[in-house]
Amino acid sequence: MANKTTPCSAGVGFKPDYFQQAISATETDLWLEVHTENYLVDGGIRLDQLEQLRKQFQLSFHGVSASLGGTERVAPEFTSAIKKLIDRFQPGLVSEHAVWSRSAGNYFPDLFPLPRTQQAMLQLVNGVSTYQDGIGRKILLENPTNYLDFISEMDEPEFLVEVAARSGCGLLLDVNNLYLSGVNCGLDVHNYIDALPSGLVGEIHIAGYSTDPKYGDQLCIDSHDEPVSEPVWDLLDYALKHLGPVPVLLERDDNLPSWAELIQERNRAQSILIANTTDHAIAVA
Amino acid sequence: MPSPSLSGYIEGFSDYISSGDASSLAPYLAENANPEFLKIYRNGAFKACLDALTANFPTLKQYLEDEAFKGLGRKYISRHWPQDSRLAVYGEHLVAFMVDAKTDYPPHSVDFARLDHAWLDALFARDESPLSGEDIAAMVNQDGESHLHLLNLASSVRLAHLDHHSLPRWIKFKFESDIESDQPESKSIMFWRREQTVQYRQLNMFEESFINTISKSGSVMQAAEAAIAINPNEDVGALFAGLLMGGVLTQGSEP
Repeated sequence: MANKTTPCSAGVGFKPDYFQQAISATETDLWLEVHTENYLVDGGIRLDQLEQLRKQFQLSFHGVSASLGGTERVAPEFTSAIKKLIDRFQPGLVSEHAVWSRSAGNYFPDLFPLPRTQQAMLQLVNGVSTYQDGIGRKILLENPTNYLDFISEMDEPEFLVEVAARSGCGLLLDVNNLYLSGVNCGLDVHNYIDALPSGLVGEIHIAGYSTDPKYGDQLCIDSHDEPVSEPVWDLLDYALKHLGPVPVLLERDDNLPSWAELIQERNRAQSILIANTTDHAIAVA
Repeated sequence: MPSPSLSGYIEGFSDYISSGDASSLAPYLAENANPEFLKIYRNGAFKACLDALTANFPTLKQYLEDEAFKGLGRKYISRHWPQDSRLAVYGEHLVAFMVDAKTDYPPHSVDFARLDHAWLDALFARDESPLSGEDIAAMVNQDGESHLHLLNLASSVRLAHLDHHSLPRWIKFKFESDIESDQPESKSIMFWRREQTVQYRQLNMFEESFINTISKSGSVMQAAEAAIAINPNEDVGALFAGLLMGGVLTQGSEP
């Protein structure tokens, strides 16, 4: 969950391709998020570079493989390795996903949805609690991208808010995931945001998406390989108005643009965040 | 009606990802769901694995070219889904898979996989300080030669044994440069990391014997004897000094 030093500003997902530019960056309050698993190595240049970056930037660790909703237990060896990394690099935020990705000893490297049933909710609470106990930190839990609907006994905000209440975690709202779930499954994205209690969401993600070659705009894919779309910028603005200012992270994992283009896009997020920080302060006063 | 179980759902989903057969997921889909949309998850998992293989075996990919590498990758993924969520180590069975497959890959393919894998392993090995010539001198001054029986190879040292003389070609693909070696015929390669850069050295039988013996016994004396038994005309002192200067040796501990 948020550490006191996490700036309430816009950050970017860090890729090793950007190391030289990132280490020379001069943007105020820029912070960097990394995929935790990429740094679960014994030694070498990756850890060395991260060590250099942490001297200059606040870091955030975003896990993609814990399979917190899976029926296999979260392995203590895994959480112990994450904890070691957290103890060394002291990230301001630690997050994971409300999904599963492990079964019968195999790891499927994608973020698979859970049916929103009571049983799945309890399983996810158990996974989040085990993970938090193992790493010694509260985490933020990210909403999935939905491509089709599975059986459900509750809607997604109710499901996630209940998991947070029972496990003590916070939420990471990925507004691109939410937008795609709206397009793909007909979810009302504004009602979704309205249903989230302010104070529970500790970080927002934004990203770009692509469309399926066969189904076009009917099936939008969370590919992180394009600039953020206009509807997602609008949804970011809406979310910040409802939830109040929280750190915003621009994700880009494929088809990487130049550092300058990435920062330009990040600066747009920063402007939206600043506008909403001012508005929020006025509203609170 | 009670909800179908979570374990049944995950089992059915796993079957679909592995095989493409979505029939056992049917009870878990909402009425309005288009089952064809499930393909996004399957494609995503395969793509992530293929991206990892591409990152971990870049020279093999260049050598085989895109379509052949993808074909190999898809077969490998179907047989060996990752067990470890650290995709930086994914592909650990690729060499054995290629050997067992008995497919007619181009002649240097398996060697390229061996070299890529050894290079990657060395890149991510544990950080540690190598022994220097001054360290050895200090050890000898303090305790005589007893510490010379307690040496280790650096944790990043990896040995690759090739079927063909593939290293020059691999170097050309990986670094776009020609190999600098005084052992052009050697098929034994040692990789290790120094100051975050992976180094390589072709080993003759004399050198390989020395290094293998150090690795097993920790003893410079035994390693020297083993190497001299292979070739009494080689200079074991020069080899030891070269390994020290290269940062290949570290201090071991009492058993």
